[in-house]
Amino acid sequence: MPTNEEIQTQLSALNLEVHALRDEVERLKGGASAPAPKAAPAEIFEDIVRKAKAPEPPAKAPLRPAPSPSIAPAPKPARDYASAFTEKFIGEKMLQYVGALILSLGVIFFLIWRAQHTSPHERALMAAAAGAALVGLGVLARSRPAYKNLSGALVGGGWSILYITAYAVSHFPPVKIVDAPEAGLALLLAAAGGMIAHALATGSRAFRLYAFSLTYFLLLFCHADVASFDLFLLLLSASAAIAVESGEADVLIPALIGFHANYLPVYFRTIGLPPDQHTAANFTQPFAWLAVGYLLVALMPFVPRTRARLGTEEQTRLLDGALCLNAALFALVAGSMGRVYFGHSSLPRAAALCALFLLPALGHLKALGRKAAAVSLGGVIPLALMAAAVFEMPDPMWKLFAWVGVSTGWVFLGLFLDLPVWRASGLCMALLTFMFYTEVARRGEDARRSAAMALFIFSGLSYFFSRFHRLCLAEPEEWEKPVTEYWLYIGTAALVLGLWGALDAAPFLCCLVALAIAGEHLAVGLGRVHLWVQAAALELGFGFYSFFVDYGGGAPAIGVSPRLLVTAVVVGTYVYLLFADPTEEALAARWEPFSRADQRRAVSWLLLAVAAFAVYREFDGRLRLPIWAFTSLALFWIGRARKSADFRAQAMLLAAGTALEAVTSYLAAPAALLSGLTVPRAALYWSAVGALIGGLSVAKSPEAGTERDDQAATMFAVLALVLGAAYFAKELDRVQLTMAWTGLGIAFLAGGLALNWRELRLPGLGLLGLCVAKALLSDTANLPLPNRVASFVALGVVLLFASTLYNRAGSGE
Amino acid sequence: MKKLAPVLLIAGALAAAFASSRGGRSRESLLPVSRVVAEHEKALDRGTAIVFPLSADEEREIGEKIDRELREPGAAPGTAAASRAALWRELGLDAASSPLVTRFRGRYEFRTALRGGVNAFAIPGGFVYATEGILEKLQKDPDALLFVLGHEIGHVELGHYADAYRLRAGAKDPLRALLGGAIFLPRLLASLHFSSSQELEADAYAARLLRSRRRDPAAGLRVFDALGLKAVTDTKRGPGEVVVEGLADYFATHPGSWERRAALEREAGRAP
Repeated sequence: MPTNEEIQTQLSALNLEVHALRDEVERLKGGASAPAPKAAPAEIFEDIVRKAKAPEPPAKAPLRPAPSPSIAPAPKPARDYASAFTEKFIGEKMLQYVGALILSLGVIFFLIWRAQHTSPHERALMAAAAGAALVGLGVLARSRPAYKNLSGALVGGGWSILYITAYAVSHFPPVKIVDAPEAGLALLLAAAGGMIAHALATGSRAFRLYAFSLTYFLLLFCHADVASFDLFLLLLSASAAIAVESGEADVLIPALIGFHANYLPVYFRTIGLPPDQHTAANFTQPFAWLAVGYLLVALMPFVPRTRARLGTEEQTRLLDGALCLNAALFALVAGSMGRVYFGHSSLPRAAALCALFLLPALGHLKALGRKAAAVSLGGVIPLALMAAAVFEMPDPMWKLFAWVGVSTGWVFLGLFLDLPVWRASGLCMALLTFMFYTEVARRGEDARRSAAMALFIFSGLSYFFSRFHRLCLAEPEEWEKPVTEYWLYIGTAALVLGLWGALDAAPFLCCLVALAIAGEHLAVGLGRVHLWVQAAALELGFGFYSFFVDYGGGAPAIGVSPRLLVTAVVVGTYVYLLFADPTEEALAARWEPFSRADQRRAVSWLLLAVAAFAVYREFDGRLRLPIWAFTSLALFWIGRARKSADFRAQAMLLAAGTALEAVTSYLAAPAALLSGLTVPRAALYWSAVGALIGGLSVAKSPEAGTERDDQAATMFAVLALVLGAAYFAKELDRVQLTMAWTGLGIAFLAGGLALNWRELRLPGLGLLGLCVAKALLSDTANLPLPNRVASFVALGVVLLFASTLYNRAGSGE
Repeated sequence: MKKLAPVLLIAGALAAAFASSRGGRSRESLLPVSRVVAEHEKALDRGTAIVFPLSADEEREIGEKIDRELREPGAAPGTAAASRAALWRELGLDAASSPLVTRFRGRYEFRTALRGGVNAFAIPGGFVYATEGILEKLQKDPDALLFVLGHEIGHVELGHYADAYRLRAGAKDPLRALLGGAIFLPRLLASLHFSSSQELEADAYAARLLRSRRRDPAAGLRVFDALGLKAVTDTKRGPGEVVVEGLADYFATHPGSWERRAALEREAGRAP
């Protein structure tokens, strides 16, 4: 509930606003300013307070903050009555137009009413007289300033009546007084001519457009005979001439719309013919009508008088718009009619149609300048027509070749003629090549391989553009400044996609490797950072891709399986990139999203993943373990030598993975599916255990001593023990296993005591504990008593021996 | 050397491209990765086998019950069906005498079934069935039939049936029943994935069994031909098809023909 003070403040504000409005009204009338606002009378204030105390609806909007009463409001500016579609327009123009229209309708209804009571001559005369009277009134009103605004509507309404009457006297029976069609046509043309001439004489754009529109649309709505289409050509020519002579290009727009609207009956009659009559002969005449109409307007800028008369900036802009409309309508109507008629596009027909756009466009280039919309559209429409024709070519190979040829050809044209829209449209079409290729590639291997050849050509052209753009364009558009790089990416994408289409997965992967290396060196040589980015992306890409290559049966090539061969190439490349990277830091620093160091880190992790995965897939559980163990050792050694945390982390990860695999894919795997246990394989296995012990010794060397070295030492010791224990668990029976594990545990314990390596002692002790538990709970459970006694004695002796070792080592220390 | 290295690498990559294309067809697939996952999912069953071993006698008991329900009267003596059944038994005994067969050695029984299309199957406990359809198709190719036998024996020997029945067999044991209930759903979801891996394992086992009997493991390829698992010639698929194949493999009981044939070709070409 507002307080009295608030209400009083609001009341004062409203009072001020009323006075300000009154001032404005007075000012507009030329009167003096109203006196300054006074305080609100007490009785009014009391009334408002009473109203304010009454309950208000909750949805009411809050009151605006009141302005200070001591500051008088500034007078508002007068309304802008000059703009179109404002009150002035509605009052002074719209009302009279509507009035004139209603008056025309009244006259028509009057004629209809009078039709039953008067002769056709009388009716025609009355209508003509009414029209003439209106025109006369309009002319008279024009000379009186007070009624000048009424003039246009009166004149327009009068001419409408005259024109309709001229049509009616030869077509409508109630007023038909002219029987000869020629006379009727002459009368109609005379009326139209008079109307248009009057419109031009008045200089009113609205009247001018109205006159042209009425001329065309009356004929359209009255279903003019198709055979009279020559008349429309004549009218269009007249419109063009009038536009030039009057220096008003806007008349071309209603003339073009009217021309094509009147063409609709021809269009529907042509496409409505039975399919067996869809012949070139039946197509020629309607198309010729259309083409002549199109060329009539399209060639206007070639006429010197046109350029002279329509040379102002505004008229040039209007002419440009009319030319665009002309081209768009012609393309729409002619293209759709041809498609219906012939069923599909063909390159020769499309080329012929394109010539109708291209040649005028080249002319417009001279007349209107390279930035004219008609010039741009004159390049885009032919390209669209050609694209449609190419898309419907039956042969997938030639289709893609033509697609590439047309799109890149357009870019060439755009470059030579310095037309950015042409270049842009060619670029867009070129980008669609990739989508188009997937459609072609789905049709089978042969189509895919053929299409790949087209992509190679496309790639070459793209690389060419990536240089040519830079060399050719002295003043590129803003969007075109990075376009050389766009072409570079398109070229690489086309090359990669083409290789994918032409090759199976494994050779494709090898080619990606070659491409990446070549790209990286070219980037360095040419100093192009985007080429380096592409090479870097390819380097990571082929690493990821290698996980998803299915090598099939994979007959051994040059003695090794394709998987190992390809993996060797990938690994070799990654090693080269890691240790002999040709890229300079300064070049890579120009690319912000990722740095050279990031890329190298990713490469190092991918290297490990690719190699480990290939070993997993190629070797069974018995053989992959030693390979991974050696790799882990090598990574640790490299990481230590290069002080690389990544390599050390990779070594740890691989060691953990090896231990996991020792359990899951070696210990738990059915023996029947593992490779045979031969002496070389067993030697390889145990050499890995020995190597891990060697790694342990490296980690425990005097130069070591960091926390990471201690972790690595523990890791190597545990891994060596796990591998050894897994081997025995896989190859030996229950009791033999216990004995072997006991021996292994003792060996680790003894070694740890002798070398004073805790990392060896603890795993050895753990394994011994496991052996004791296994012997007590499992191995001896079903043995006869004498055997059980013997087992316990043997186990006890072993444990005592271990304890002795511990004690001796302890006393030694 | 530094300048020569990239040239050598590029040349090596191109040479590898040529050599690998000579080594046979290759393609993109999610299966190399998803198969690794599936192989590790099998650790679920293998771990359970260590905790709750199912003895051969227990498995045999389960198999005998199923066998009683499936067994059909034998073919009339002197008929073609009878001679095919005899061939099946004879080859089956030959296969079962391989040193690779250990779990039910000497206890395998080989039966024929009239219905079931072109198929062969085994049930727990060492009962191996072949339908008349597959016998008719492969009767002139003993090595191919031996491969079929090796495949089915492989399922039994590799414990695939024991894994499937292990916890069901111990339903009387409360702990086993509880564990069986707890791991039923995860095992079901995982087994959807690794059942194809089990088929590949059984194929590999069959190839090794044939090799142990001094027969040609590549006979398995003729079996695949007879079963309609033709070699795929058009290898290039779109990314969408690769994904669809990967997802479909999750629910499939058997691997696709490309993968199955390729695995057997590799196994057949591998040194013993």
